[in-house]
Amino acid sequence: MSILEVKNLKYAYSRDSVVFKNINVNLEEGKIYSILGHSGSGKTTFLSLLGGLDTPTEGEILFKGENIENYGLAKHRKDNVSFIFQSYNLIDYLTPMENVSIASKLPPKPILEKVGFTDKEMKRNVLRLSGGQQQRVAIARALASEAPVLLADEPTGNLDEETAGSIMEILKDCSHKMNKCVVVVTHSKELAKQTDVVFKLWRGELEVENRK
Amino acid sequence: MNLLKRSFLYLFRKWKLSILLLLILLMVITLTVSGIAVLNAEEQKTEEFKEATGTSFSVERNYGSGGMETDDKGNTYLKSDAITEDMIKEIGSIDGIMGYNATVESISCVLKDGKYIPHSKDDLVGWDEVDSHTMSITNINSKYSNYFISNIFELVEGEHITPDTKNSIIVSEAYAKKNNLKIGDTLTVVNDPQNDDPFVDVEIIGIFRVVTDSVDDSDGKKIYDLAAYFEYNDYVFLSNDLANKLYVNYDDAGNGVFDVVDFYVSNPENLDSIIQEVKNIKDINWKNFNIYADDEVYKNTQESVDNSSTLIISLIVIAIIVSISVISIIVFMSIKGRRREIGILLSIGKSKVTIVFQFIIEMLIIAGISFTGSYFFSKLIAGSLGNAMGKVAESVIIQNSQFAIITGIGIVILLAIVIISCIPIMNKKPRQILSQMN
Repeated sequence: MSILEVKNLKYAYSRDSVVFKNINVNLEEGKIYSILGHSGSGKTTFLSLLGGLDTPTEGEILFKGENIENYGLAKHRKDNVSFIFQSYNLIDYLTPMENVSIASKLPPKPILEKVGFTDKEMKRNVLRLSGGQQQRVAIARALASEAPVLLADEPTGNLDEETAGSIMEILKDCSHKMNKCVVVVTHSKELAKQTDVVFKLWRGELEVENRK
Repeated sequence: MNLLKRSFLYLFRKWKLSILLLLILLMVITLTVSGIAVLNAEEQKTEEFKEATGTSFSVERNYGSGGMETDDKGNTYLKSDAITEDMIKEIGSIDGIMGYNATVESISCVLKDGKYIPHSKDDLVGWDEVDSHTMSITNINSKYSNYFISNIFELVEGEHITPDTKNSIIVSEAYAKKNNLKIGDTLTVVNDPQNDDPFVDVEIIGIFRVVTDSVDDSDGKKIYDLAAYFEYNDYVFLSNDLANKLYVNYDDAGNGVFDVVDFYVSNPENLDSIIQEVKNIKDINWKNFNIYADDEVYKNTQESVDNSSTLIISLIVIAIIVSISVISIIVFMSIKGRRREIGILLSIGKSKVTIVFQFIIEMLIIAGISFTGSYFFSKLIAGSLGNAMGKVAESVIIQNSQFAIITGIGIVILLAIVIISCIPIMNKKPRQILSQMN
């Protein structure tokens, strides 16, 4: 079932700098998508538009049939989507428990346990955690929001291969077991292969490169 | 997690920044409040000074008009008009004049139970009449005598001489002690027993103490005024009616006329206008009288008070400007350094208003602690600060209403600093903030 629908999306920084010419795509619940593209192709911009962090120059993005701008971008970010960033983006003066708590009223402990945290680690300042642990806190925060769409921007970019693999497993579980729509922006074709649908951003167009 | 908890966590975990802001605020508020308390004391002192300074003008007989006259006995007198009691009453009735005084000074002998009593000094010559000499001053209003106005003497018992007082005398504490005198005792005063002057009975209605510093304590004697023939403890103040009774043998004293009368104004700032009003009295021939303003002490002291106030205000203003600048820089840099946090909060759906509100709550918590602390701290140091600036500690009081106004203005300024510091970041789209921090 389509949860996010992109219609005639056009985005330009200026008249001479067009990022997207005309993108149309439907994203469904229970599936994990990857978006490949070279640096500067607009992957992060596309993710930002889906998440309501920015607005398209033309066209519209619908969440369950409603334009997200009409719904309210801040409300869209709060209710419908959650983000995972390459640089984790945790609040540095809070513990994992507290970082998860800012996104949701759900108890953070079970969610952190699900992504592999011990009681002791949960109460440690996030700056004293490893990169993999910090990214898992970011995932836990995204999960805690209960948003049906999870947008991940290079979530394994700063991690070693083994940790990156475990993070991908968590993201796949999010889509397949928790029925979320997961969109992952990545450079890695190996990582993209693990997703259900692989898109490629090329010259302002979004093309399907592979579909399982 | 709610806003309040997030705010407390930030302040607690970023304690160095919190303490820095708190101390700066504590310092500037304490300094401001204490400074204002000192200004209050200054203002109060000025008001008291206006009442007590004795700013006056004198109406003086014009000695240059009328020439001189010699009587049958060979005594020479001025022929010019003297100041009459009617003139005094007319001038004294003008609004803004709080009192007046005129004196006749002489040397009189004092007796008790028919015997001459000695003056306060021990160097008696053994001639009773001479040893009982006092500096006698008749007064219309003794509280306006220069000796009392200038705080040379202080009435410690009884009451002052007023226009209605009859047959009364005020003596010094030392004189009373030496001669075992008390309020209500009857004394006899004579101006010059060798000149067949009358003896007049008087009642002691007041006792004064010499409170000015002595200028020479050598040989166990207290000398207060080297130019004065009499020691201050041997001054006596007589009611005005006695001038007519004691000086009957002298044409230039008594008879209800005076050479000089001092008029005291309630507000020194009105002195010039009051003098002008006096000059406009048509019943008085001003060719025969002169008027002199005596507000030099007031002006000098007022200038000193103004200089002191200007210094305090300047210090407060400089402290406030420097502190606001420092606080602004700290808050601006702090909020700029929190772009990541702002971006994260925006990405999870917190509104910009909510985020700014969190920063405001944090500032209000720091301000609340600082203002509360400075309220008590100011009370502790205001007295010391006042002392250092020459004020009496007890007079340096923090007024709650003024503290409330300072608190209100301070909080408005702090909130403005927070909101203005947020504008550069909050004007950006969430993606711009996130891309900057990445």
